[in-house]
Amino acid sequence: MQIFDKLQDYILNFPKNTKRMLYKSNILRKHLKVLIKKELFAFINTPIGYIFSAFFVILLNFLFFFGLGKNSFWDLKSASMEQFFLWIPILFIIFIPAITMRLWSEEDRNGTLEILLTLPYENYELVLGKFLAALIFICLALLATILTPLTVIILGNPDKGLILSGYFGSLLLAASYISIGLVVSSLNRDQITAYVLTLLSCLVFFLMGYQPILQFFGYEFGELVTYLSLSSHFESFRIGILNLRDFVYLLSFISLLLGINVIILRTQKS
Amino acid sequence: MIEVKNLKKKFGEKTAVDGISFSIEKGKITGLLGPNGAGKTTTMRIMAGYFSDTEGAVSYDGLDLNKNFIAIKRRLGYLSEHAPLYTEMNVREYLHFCADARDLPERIKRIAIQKMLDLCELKTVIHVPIQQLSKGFKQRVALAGTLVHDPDYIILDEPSSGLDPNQIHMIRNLIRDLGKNKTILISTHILQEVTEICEKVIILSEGKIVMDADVNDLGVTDRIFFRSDIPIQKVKEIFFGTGMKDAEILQSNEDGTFNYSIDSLGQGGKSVFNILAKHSFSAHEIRPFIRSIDDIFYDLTRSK
Repeated sequence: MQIFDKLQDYILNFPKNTKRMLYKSNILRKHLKVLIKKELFAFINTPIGYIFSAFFVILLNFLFFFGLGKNSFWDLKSASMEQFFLWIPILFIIFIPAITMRLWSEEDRNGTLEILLTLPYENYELVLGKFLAALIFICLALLATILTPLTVIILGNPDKGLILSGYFGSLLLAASYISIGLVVSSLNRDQITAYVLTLLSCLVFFLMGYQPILQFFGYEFGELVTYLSLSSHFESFRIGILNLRDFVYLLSFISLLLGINVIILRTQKS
Repeated sequence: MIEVKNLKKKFGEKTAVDGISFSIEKGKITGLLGPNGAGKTTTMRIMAGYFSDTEGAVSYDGLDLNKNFIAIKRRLGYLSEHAPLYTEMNVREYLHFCADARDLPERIKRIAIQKMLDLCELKTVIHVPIQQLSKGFKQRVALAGTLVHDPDYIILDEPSSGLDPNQIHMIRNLIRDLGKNKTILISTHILQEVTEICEKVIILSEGKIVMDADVNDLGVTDRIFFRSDIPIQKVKEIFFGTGMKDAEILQSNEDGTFNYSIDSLGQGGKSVFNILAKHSFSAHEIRPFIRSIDDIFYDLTRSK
């Protein structure tokens, strides 16, 4: 009977609850908009973002078309983007820490953290705002690489689904790296330290899925290490397997780190 | 009214704020004084909700800060020390950010920003990136950002630092005007600023409150000041048995007179005059002895 009462209660209050939820999500959206806009000002008005994006796009295309060794697009003689999505995770390791390094450390150093933390915002909104702003910036950088697949499509007939899934995976991977970068940045006042430590952390999560290292660890332990690595989950997207498991793993990885970031923000100022 | 009860804050082993309690009334601008490291900035940061892990309670008009975090911050304007700013924005963008962050509706926002540009005299630099502005302009931009949403509670940490005398004058007038119907706490290093704009003063030293008084009562004592050419032995002699005590020379003047102060035990300047007259002495000047805020500050805060 109790369950029935609760159910009835829920159904009767459904319009009210939905209204409140809508109201809350509306406010969240409004707050995030303000925060993202503020972050994007910093990306747009400082040269570092442009420099690293240009570096990313140029290097990626160079590596794809000319490559190292005999793996370049012209050498392989096939209209495939496989090499392209092989290089993206590696370049991200260099590129993304440069985007995330300043996110918290600069606020802390300039004292603007005081402005931010005394705004009528929840801590999770602040973290989410920074995360989304960085993600939007990476999206733009990825958008700038769109000429490469277009070239390949003009030259041959690549699997378009593979390209889409590769881009989708790249975005998820970027989000994971960003969340690592956010946590590291919130723990370091110095941007250079934040850059190097983020690069190292991303590298560790990438190399954990690297074959020779797995052989070194042995089968059972190696299996676990692979599962926890970011590269093994990205691999499925790269070869065009849209697997719910990989999707959920990356999403949990991001949420966990963002959660840690919120806790750091709360405890650091004490 | 803002009430602070038994506030404590430690950084590692060091106690920055050690169990202080005070209240700030609406319409009564309160000044927070103290030497460097006395805990002024820490106190203000706690009140603005910057530090979360503290002992004690802060309440705004009866609402507890920790339980009504967002609602209170919405009505609070806090200018932190050194006036940090997002220097990659220009003045207009920064004020828009501050207004947007408080959910001001578009129409009100435009009016509010215009008003702040007028009040803080920023019209000439609207489109200048903040990093290119001088210290005085930056300070005023920060102040404009603090006040743009017309907050009910205002906490200003050294609002006049880095300003020239004209700008200081302007900011003091602004604060005085705001003070009529808002709850304001300001901290400052300039002691005259307190006597000029504040009605209440709280002096902190080593994390504790050493004085909490109305500015008008400040320095008022039972002592009487007089300037005369009588030597000190004579003064002690004629005041012996009158109920007045502790006559002391404050200063010897070049014209051969001395500045005296004496504890009249509530009898006032008139009695001092009568006693002098009775012994056929005169004085160049007799008035209540008021201690300057500099003296009070020095006595209360010099390290023990």
